[in-house]
Amino acid sequence: MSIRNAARFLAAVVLVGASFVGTAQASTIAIVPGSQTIAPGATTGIDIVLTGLSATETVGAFSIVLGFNDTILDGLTFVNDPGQKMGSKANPCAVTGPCDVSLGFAAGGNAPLDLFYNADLVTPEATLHALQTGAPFVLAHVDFRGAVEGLSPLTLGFQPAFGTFLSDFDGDAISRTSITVVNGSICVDDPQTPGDRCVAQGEVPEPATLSLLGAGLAAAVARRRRKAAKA
Amino acid sequence: MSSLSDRKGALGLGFAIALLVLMAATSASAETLLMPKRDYLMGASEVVWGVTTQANGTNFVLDYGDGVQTIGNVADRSYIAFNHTYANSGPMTVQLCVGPGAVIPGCTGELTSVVVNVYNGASLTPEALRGLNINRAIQNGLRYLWTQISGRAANFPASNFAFWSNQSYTALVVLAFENHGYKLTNNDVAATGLYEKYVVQRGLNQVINGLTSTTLTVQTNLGSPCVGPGIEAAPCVGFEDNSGSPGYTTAIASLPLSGSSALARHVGANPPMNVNVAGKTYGEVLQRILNAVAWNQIDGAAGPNRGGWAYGVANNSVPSSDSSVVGWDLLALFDGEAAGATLPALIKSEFGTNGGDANQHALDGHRNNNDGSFDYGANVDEVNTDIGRNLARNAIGLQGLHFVGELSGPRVDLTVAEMNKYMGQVETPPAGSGYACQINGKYNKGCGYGMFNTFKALKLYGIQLLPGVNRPAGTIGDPDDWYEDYRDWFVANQTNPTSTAGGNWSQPTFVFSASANNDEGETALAELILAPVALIAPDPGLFSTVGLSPQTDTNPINTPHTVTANVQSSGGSPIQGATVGFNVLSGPNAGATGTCNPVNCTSSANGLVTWTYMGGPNIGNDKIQANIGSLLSNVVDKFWVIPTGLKCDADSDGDVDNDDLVIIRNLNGQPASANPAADGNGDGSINVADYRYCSLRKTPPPPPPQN
Repeated sequence: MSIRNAARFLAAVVLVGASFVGTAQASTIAIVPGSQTIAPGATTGIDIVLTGLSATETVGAFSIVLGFNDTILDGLTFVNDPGQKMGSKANPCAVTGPCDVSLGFAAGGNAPLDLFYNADLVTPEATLHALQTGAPFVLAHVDFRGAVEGLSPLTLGFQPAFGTFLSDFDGDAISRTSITVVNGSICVDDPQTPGDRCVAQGEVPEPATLSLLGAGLAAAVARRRRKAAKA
Repeated sequence: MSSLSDRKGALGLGFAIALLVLMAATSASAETLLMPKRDYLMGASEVVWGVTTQANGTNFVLDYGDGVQTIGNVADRSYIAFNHTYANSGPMTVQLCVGPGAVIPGCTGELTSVVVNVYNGASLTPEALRGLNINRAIQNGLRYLWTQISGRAANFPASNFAFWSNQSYTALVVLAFENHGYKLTNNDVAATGLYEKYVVQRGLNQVINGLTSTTLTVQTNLGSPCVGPGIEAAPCVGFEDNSGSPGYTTAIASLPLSGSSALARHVGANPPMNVNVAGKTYGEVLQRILNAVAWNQIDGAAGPNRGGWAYGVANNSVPSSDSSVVGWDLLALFDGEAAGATLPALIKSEFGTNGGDANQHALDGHRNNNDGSFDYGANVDEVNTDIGRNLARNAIGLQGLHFVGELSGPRVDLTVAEMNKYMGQVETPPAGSGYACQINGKYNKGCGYGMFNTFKALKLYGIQLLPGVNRPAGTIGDPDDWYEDYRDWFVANQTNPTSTAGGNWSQPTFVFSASANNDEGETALAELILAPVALIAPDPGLFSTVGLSPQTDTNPINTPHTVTANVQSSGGSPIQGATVGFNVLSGPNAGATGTCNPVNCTSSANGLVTWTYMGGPNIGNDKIQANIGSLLSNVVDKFWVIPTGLKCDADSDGDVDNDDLVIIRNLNGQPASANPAADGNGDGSINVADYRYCSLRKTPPPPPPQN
């Protein structure tokens, strides 16, 4: 296992652990995949996924600010509700206006990405609820391009003043306290010169993590030696 | 034959029955009371006290409510008082148990309790600590007056009278208690409460019983002084107090009746009262006193003394008007009018200059139009600078202007400016001098008569700030606030406030007047100045039930709300000069600050004070209450709602459309106060839920035009 793979593994462990934080019935909003590595100039995408809605909750609108390091990543495109679980995009959500009133990326594909989306006004609540709870509910899909090497966190930002970022079907807030938020990251690293780009600068691994990394490194070295011996 | 054991049982049962009967008899006849509810400072040695009608020598336990008790035998049943230092803050239930074998808990004698509030000074704001110390000073001063009831220990509880040095001091003491909220009920129900029963009722008995009858006749200019409901036509019976100079002692005798809020109460048969007053209502007694005050107004030939008052009765003679006497008579008339008594129609114009003749009357006789001062004598001497002129007389002159309805204008401004010259100054009367107020002619802090008249005059005019006050650096509040300057001075100059024998204001720092020196009178004046009312306190029953309005109101959030306090006597007459506080007890705007009209929150001639505060962005129910000192009004409700007609109409154009949604979108994350209509769901903030809410409530497009 490479250092990078070890880091992914650890991130997955952290994600799994995080998903169990909070009450058993809590909803979770997460970046999927939680972490990935791309080469400079390559593109990739992430989904913002909502799971665990209760039987009484149906998302009528959401407002999310996605933060990232716009030195490392360039924002390319985004699509709100790609699975159309907030109603058909052919349906109106305003008399003449769109459902999507996002501000999008800051100028030049920079951070942050402002997402603001309203469900259509014709699909019944029960139908939307079935759509949103029947399969992974992707609130938005976002594409990035790696700009320079480095680790960019992906932060689901909800400005404190916003308070509410999910509306139910009728226009009442879905309580933030019932939602677990799991952020993610994208590492931009040249595969020709693998290094430590995927460790956040200034981050000091815990001793236990260091030992795991050491074990993984030792195993990788041993495996490489075995391959070399076979060759 | 019964066995011995049976007989022992019978004896035991008999003893128990006898004990029960004895206890019942004791409960029915005896009475144990604690001091009224009050505030204490943690860590300070404070006086905790009570009384009992049980005999001296009876066992007692005084439980301070913090786990500490004093146990002993009653030495002075009229004043069971001990110093105690509270080590903790919070409400404490003080209990006093008196009876054989007294014990707490498990008191089998008489048990009474009161909840006191103990505050930790270190956790209070400087403003709150100052307020606490003012409250402590007031309560300690009232306690001092309790201790000074003439013959208290010997006469308690048998006497039906309470007396402080002379009739006039007695009247002022009773008014002081009344103005701090200790009043009788407006009926013949026996008084309850330590101060109400033993100070106010018995003090009123003393004042009323000292009245004498006199025959009032028609005056040359005033006409008949025999006014008021139920008063016979002239000649009529008037009541005077001849214990001193009736020109002012009669006026002072009226004060506790005006302040009683009990004008329907009857002078009872017990105790036996003099035949002049027996059986009459307090209202009738008051009216007959005030009629005598009117009769005592200088009448007769035109001149600068006419309309004034002199030391003696003036009835249709023209003695020299004395501005000191004028001050007391004006106060009697102010208070009486506030209480709802009737004044002769011409009494004000006789005092002022609008009486229909071309001559100056007493107001202008005393008044110096060059500088606005008010001379000792009504001599029309515009250049008089005699020693009689001082702050006290200037303040009486200002009251005189108010009495005749001159509420503003150059003469008022001139007198206020003259008073301002004395502001901030302190008297330094030498020990032993009975004329301390007069030593340097200032009559300000340290001179009771001067401070009292200044207090009345400036409160009546609603004047809060005077540039000459110039309070010391570091004091709390506006540096030009004369009343806060006075209150600080009283707190700083009280004598031994936390000793069981102290709490008075006395010489050498504080004297009654240029001609009187009496601790009880001085303490009464101090208490009157520290009271929240310049004249009399409102009827407690009315203020606590309808004192604040509107009782219920509903308005949109983020708009102002105004409540009105109505300060009125038991008969509904407006009372001016009462300082009203307002408090949002609970709700989305709990603790809100606001502004008063009049600005100093003191009632004007209509008895009203309004208070306006701004409702915040949140919906809910505010509970609001007014207070005049410790007297609390009814609690009124204010419901803050999202206005239905405006909901989601963020651009206020009468519909909900995409323009409104754009506004809501752009206000994402803002508080509702940014645009209340944009907070469609009314949760206090503008966010995506409001966008959703309002998108579901858009105004349908109009139907297409018909061909």
